[in-house]
Amino acid sequence: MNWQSSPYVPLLLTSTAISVGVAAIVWRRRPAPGALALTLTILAAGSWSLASVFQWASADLEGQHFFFELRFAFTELLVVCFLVFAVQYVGFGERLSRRAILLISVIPIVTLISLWTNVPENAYLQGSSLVSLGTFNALAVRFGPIFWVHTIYDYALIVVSLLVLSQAFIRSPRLYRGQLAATAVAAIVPASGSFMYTSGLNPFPYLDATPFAFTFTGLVLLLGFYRFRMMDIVPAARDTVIQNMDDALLVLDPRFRVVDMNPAAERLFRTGAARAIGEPVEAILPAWTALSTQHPTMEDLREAEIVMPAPENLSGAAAEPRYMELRVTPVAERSGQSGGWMVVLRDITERKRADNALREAKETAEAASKAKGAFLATVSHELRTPLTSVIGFAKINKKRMEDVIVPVIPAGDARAGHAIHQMGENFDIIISEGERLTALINDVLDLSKIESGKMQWHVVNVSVHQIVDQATAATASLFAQKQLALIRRIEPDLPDVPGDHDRLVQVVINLLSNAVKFTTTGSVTCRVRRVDSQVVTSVIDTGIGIAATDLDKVFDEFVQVGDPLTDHPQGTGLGLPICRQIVESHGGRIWVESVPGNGSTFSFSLPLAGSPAALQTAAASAPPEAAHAQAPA
Amino acid sequence: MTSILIVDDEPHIRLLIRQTLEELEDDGVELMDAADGESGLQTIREQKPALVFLDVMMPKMSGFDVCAAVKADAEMQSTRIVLLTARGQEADHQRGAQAGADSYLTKPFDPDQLLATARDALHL
Repeated sequence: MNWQSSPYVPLLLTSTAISVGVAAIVWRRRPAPGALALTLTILAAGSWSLASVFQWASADLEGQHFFFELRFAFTELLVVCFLVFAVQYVGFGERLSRRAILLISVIPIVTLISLWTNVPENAYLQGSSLVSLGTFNALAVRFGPIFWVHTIYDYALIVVSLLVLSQAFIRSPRLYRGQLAATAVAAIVPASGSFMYTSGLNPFPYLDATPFAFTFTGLVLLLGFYRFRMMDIVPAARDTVIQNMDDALLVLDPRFRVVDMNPAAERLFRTGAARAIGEPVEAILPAWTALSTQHPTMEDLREAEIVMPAPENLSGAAAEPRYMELRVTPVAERSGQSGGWMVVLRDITERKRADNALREAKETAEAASKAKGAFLATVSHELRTPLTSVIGFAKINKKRMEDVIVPVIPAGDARAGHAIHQMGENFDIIISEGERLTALINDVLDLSKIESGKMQWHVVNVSVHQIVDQATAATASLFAQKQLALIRRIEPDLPDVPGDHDRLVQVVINLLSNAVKFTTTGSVTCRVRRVDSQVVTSVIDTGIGIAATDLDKVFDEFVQVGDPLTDHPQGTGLGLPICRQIVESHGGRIWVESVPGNGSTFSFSLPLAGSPAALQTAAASAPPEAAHAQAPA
Repeated sequence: MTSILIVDDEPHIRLLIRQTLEELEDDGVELMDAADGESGLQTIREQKPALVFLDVMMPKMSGFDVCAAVKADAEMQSTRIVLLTARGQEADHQRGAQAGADSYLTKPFDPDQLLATARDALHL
C-alpha cells in the first residue's frame, strides 16, 4: 500500500479527535437516558472521519477503495444509533425494544453485505477510479441502485430522529429547547454535507464533506453540554415526573385557557386533555370562578384550598367531597411578560380528615380533663362544707361537754362517767374520720392538679436540711405518741437543690408519717446524702416491711398493701402516689426497698443541676387563673 | 360596741361560727350574720363591724368582691376581714390578698383556731 500527502488529512484528524473527546464527555454522563446511544453515534462519526483519513492518505486505488467501503459501516451505525438516542432522550425509550432496533438495522446490514461482497454484482458500486487532483489522488465512484436504497433509508432515519426531537422541542421549556436545538443542528449540518456529496451538488469534487462537518457537530454538542446542561438534565425525566405525578397539573395561557394537563388532571376532572385544551379553566374547574372574583389579576393568589364534588363511585352512592390544595405559579416569558399560569392541585382530603380527627380527639381529651378538674373542684367544695359542720360541731360539742357537762356530773356516778368517756371517744372518732376525709379530698385535688399540669410550682433553691427540719417538726407529735426515736443522719455541706419547698416538705412528711404508722418498736432514720449529681433522701424504718410482690404497687393510686385486718391501714391511699408525682415533677425518682419483718427504706432523689424542666413547663403553662378551679356556688 | 359579722350562705356554717364565737359575747362583742355577699356588704356599710368572717363562694356577690368593695371604701376599710376559703390554695390566698383581706382560714377550719383569730383581731 502506498501513501500520499493530502491537505484533508489534518482536518479529518482534528474531526476524529474532537469526536473521541466529545464521546468521552457523553460517556461520563452515561446514567442519563440515551447517553450510550449518543456515545456510539459520536464514536461512529469519529470512526467515519478516521476511515476518511486513511482513504485520503492512501495513494492507490486499492487502498482508497478499501477505506471508502469500510466507512459505510460507520455511516450505518451512526444513523441507527442517532435514532435510538433521539427516542430515548425525549423519553420514549421504553417503546424501542431490541427487536425494533434489529428491525431498523435490517436494511443497513443487507446493503453493507451487498457492498462488501459485491452481490448482486455492481448493485451497490458500479465502478471506481482514481482521479489526480494535482499533488494527490481522489477516488471517483459510480453508485448502483442499492446505494440509493441505503441512502434514502438513512435520510429517512435522520428525518424521523429530528421529528422525534422536534416533538419534544415544542413542549419543552427554554433549557430543554436549547439542548434540543443543539442536537438538531449537530445532526443537520453533517447530514447536509452528506446530501451535497450524494446528490452531486457538491462544490468540492470527489470530496465527501460529512466527516469534516463532524468537527462542527462536536463543537455544537460541547455547547449543548456546557451551556444547556445537556445529558445532565434531560427532558425525559421531566416528562416522566409530570406524567406520573399524583398531583394534577394544569397549564393555562395568560387568558386562563387550558393549554396542557397531565394524566392526573385528566383523572381529576374526568375529561381528556384533547377535549379540555383550549377551554377556559372554569369549564373544568368551576371553583375558579370564585377564586378569580377574589383575585381578579391572579397575581396575589398563590395558594388556596377548594372543595371539589366527590367522584361518583360505581354504586352511584355519593362519596364525600374532596379537599384540594391549589397552587398557582405564573409562568414568566423571557421578556418578563406573563406567559400564563401553572396550576397544581393536590388532594389533601386524607390530610384534612386526619387533622380533623386529631383536633377532635384533642378537644375531647381537653374537655374531659377540664370536666374532671371542674368536677373535682365542685365535689371538693360540696364535701368540704358539710365536713366543716361535722368536724366543727363535733369539736364544739366535745368542748362543751368537757367544759360544761363534765364538771356538773357527780363524781360517784359511774354510769354517767362511762357515758361521758364514750362520748368523748366517739367525738374523737368523728373528728379524726372527718379529718381523714378532708385529707382525701385534698390529696385527690393535688393529684389531679399535678397530673393535668395545673399545679403551680414555686421553684427556688431549697436546703434539704430545712426540708427535713420542717417535716420533723410537723411529725414530732406522731413520734411522741408511739414513743419512737427519729434518727437524723444528714451529710454536712449538702448543696441546695432547685425545687418547690412546700411540696418537698410534703413528701418527707408523708414518708415519715408512713414510717411511724407501720413501726411499733425500734426507730425511724432520716438519711440524706449526695450521690453523684443528686441528693438522695431516705426514710428507713424498722417496721413490718412490705412483701416483695407488693413493692411495685405501693406507689399506685388507692392501693394499700398488706392485710387490711392486721396491718391497721390508715390514710387515703394517695400519699405515696402524690409523693411520686411531686418527685418525678422535680426530675427525680422515688423507690422502696424492704425486707418483711425488718422494715422498709423509702428513698427519693433530686437532681442538683438546673431547674427541672417539668416544673418550668408546668409553671409556664398554668396561668394564675387556672389554679382557682372554682366551683359554682 | 364591738361587733363581728359572719357572712356565709350555708346556715350550718353560720351557726357553727356563731357557736364558736359565742363566748366572746361575755366580752361585750355583738355577733351578726348575713346569708349572701350583697346583704353582707350592706351590713358592713351600716353597722361597721370590727371583724368580718367572710365566705368566698357565695351567690350574688363573692367574698373577694365584698372584700375589695370594703377595702376600697375609706369609711369601711378599717374593718378586718378574714376570708373563709374552700381550699388552702395559694391562688385563692393571692386573690384574697389582692382584694385586701387581712387573713384567711381554710375550710374545714378548727373552731379553736377561728376563736383565736377573732380574739387576736379584737385584741381580747
